[in-house]
Amino acid sequence: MDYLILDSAGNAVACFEDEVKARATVHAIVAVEPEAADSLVLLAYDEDGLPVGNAVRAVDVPPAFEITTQDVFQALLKPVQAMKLPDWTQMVPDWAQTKTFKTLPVWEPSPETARA
Amino acid sequence: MCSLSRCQTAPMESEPEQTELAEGEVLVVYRIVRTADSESPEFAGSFKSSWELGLPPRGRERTYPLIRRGVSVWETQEAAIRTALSYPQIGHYVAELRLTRETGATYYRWEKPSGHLTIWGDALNLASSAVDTICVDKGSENKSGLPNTG
Repeated sequence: MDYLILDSAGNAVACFEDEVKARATVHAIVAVEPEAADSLVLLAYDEDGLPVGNAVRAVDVPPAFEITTQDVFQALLKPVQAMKLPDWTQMVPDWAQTKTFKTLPVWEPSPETARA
Repeated sequence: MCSLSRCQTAPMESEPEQTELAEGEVLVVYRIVRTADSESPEFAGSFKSSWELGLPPRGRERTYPLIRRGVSVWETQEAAIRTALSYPQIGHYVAELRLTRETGATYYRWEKPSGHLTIWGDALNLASSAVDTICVDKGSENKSGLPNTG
């Protein structure tokens, strides 16, 4: 799919293969020149060069990036994830790392206790 | 015998190179226009570039001002008709142009979308090269033979 930006005279201003780039460009133009919001449209074309759907006025072009709740959490967690945490194994004394523990016998009730 | 134009495509990463028509070459393109009356000033006005119309430069027109001095046309009637139906504000008619070297027009074929060209030339000369104009208005009789969309 190709995305063509047309002006109010029907002349092409720019074309993109990437929809996000096309939308970002439309918004960038409108950010600098707000009056362009009413005079530019974005139109999608298929591989055969035929338009798909109706032209979308610049003012109605969806934002290039949508921020979800998950994006916000990821952004907040990123600095925490980037923190270099200490290696806790280095803080365990050598004797604790090498010592082997005997397995204690499992308690079982005596036959008398079990009968009672 | 005339041959239809063929040219190289080029990416829009630099100022577009204008291609001149060869002797005997005929380039058939379709332009969306605001009226079918070829005698009307509005008809010739439909061939004016954004620069001639005094529209401010937008997007790549700033980087490549040559684009702003040309007009968009389509290689196929279907693409022009469907574009007019998708964006009716620019016109309800599609004019068929037969450009020759004598027209004095040059052109640039965009890499994308397929079949889209920018042509440069005097608006009156371009208008006089129109051989046929059809109405594509959704509300009126569809003379194009294409199904109405939308």
